[in-house]
Amino acid sequence: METVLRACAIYVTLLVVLRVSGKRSMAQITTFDFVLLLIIGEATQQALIGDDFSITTGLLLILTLVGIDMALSLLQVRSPRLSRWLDGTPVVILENGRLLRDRLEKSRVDESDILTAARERHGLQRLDEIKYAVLERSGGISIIPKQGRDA
Amino acid sequence: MGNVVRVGSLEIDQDLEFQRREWRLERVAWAFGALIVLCAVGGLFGSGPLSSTEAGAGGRLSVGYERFLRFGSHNRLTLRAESGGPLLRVDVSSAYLARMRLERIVPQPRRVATVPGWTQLEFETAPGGPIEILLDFEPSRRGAAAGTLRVEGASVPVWQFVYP
Repeated sequence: METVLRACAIYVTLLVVLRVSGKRSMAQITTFDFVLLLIIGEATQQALIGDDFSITTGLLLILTLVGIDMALSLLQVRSPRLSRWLDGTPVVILENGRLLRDRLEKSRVDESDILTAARERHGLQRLDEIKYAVLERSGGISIIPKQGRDA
Repeated sequence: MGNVVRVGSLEIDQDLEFQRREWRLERVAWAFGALIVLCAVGGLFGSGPLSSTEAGAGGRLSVGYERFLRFGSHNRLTLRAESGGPLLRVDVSSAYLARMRLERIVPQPRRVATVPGWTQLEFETAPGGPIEILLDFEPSRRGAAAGTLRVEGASVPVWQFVYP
């Protein structure tokens, strides 16, 4: 019972913390973000298994975590509202070359982040070459170039 | 997937109303998170000014301990007492001991006995001087633990909370 409760507590806590930290926090923008994610994983591991290194506990943990994840995804298919709360929604942060400042600020994204994404995926050089930039659920930025440029 | 709407020529499940609510909630959650960290620094989750305490009974007995403990962590309870004779008997309530896994007692008691409700530890001491007894333990149950320590009539209540 202990193992299952531990898994539930950790799952919920991580879900809430990662969700409220914003889309951008865990998007692994820098190497340090990646290292931070590893450290969080390490800290979580201790709390999950404690001092019980049995195979039974390990299997129970995996079953519980995968189970919660599946149950939530099933519920999400039925309820778009729940889906929004768990996964968030994408936000348009640039429209027709024009930055939507208040959304950028609230999402903690700036011009250089958009330009980075534009360079990496489409080889674009300037903001005015971008039609839309969208901050996706995952924290990544997707870029839609202006028509005629990619053709 | 939420409701797909059109933004210009883009089909996207953007929901600005929801997004604003989310941003507001984020701010509240950050404040809450900061509060938790501040409390932790203060000692609400163990080892800090809010947690470390010293309880006494008339100068003859004092007990230093942490109010807030975490399950499975190592802890120490320090007992200081004035010894009246060559032997000092310390009584610890059994209910309290049942919640702790005792790892070490320094100095080692010469004799341990149990009577209903109490565990009695007897130590050899040099009379007159103040002596210090250390109890190292690990909480073995979560939740509030209340106990009493008694030395020659003077008794000190101990209250601890063990976080999961």
